[in-house]
Amino acid sequence: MYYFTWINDLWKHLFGGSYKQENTGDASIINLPNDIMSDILSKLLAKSVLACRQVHPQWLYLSSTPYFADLHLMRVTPILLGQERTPFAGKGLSDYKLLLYSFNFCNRKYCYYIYSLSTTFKRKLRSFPYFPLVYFSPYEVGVVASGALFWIVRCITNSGDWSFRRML
Amino acid sequence: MASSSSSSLSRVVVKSSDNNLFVVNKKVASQSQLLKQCIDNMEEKGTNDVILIPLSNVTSNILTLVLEYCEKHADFADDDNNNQELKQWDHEFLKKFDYATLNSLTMAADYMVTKSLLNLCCQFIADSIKDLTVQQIRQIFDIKNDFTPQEEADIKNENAWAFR
Repeated sequence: MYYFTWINDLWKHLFGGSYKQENTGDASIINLPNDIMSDILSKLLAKSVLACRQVHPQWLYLSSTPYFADLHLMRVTPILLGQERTPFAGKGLSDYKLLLYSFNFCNRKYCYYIYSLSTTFKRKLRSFPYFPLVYFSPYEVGVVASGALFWIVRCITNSGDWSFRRML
Repeated sequence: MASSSSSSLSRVVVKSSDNNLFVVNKKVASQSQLLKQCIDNMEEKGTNDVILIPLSNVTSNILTLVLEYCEKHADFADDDNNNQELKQWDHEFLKKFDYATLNSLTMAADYMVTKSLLNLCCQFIADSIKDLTVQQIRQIFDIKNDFTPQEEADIKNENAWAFR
């Protein structure tokens, strides 16, 4: 690199006194611009995103926007479970949570569950706002979530395409 | 290396916020879209003078790092992008810094529109965040807890299932 410190001296000599002090600016990670921080958060797996949500209000806000959900989704590699009934089919996915829905024949409602791969723990979600799946039998749609906090990754549209839908 | 025939500039002078001057090879400067834009504009005007580009947001020690990165990547610009050696170098390059420097570098990369460096920094920070607990993140990045106890309890509650 070609830089000459003497030029600086010359500069000071010519314009001495008028230059201002170095703007130190706070180099804390909190002061990173929002779009950069969103980018960083979106590179994390769901569990880390959750941890980050507890770190600082700003991060909680950033990771709650629809923009962030889209960003995170874009980085996700969807895993199709196809006909698999069990969410534990995907091996080596310990960082992921899977989301599966089932049809409850008693009250004729669809239920959604999030499964943790590491345990048998599951948690029922609140009723799902989108309802594109009526034509499918409960287990036909292996719903996959990476992240699983905000989003369902999946569903076949009428044209047979993949689409992504947000949970929250 | 041969630059385009119409160009008359081979060097530019970049000024940091603390008024240090850096003479930069044009090929190196082109790694930053901001500098490249400036150069292109000046060339369109057909000026033959050496141009001075002031960067009011970047201090000289950070600028030195950005230029070091640009220089390395300019060397490899004609090669395959997936060059292993370059990736290795990138990693070693970032590993040296503390987080304050890394944050400043990230902001500088954003300001100077050096996309690959920005991506690199973001990925590096993300890699350092992952697998850490909330407390560890706060400690390492020196973040104050700005939540009220009530808010914190709420979020913890909301997220509890994920940590089982």
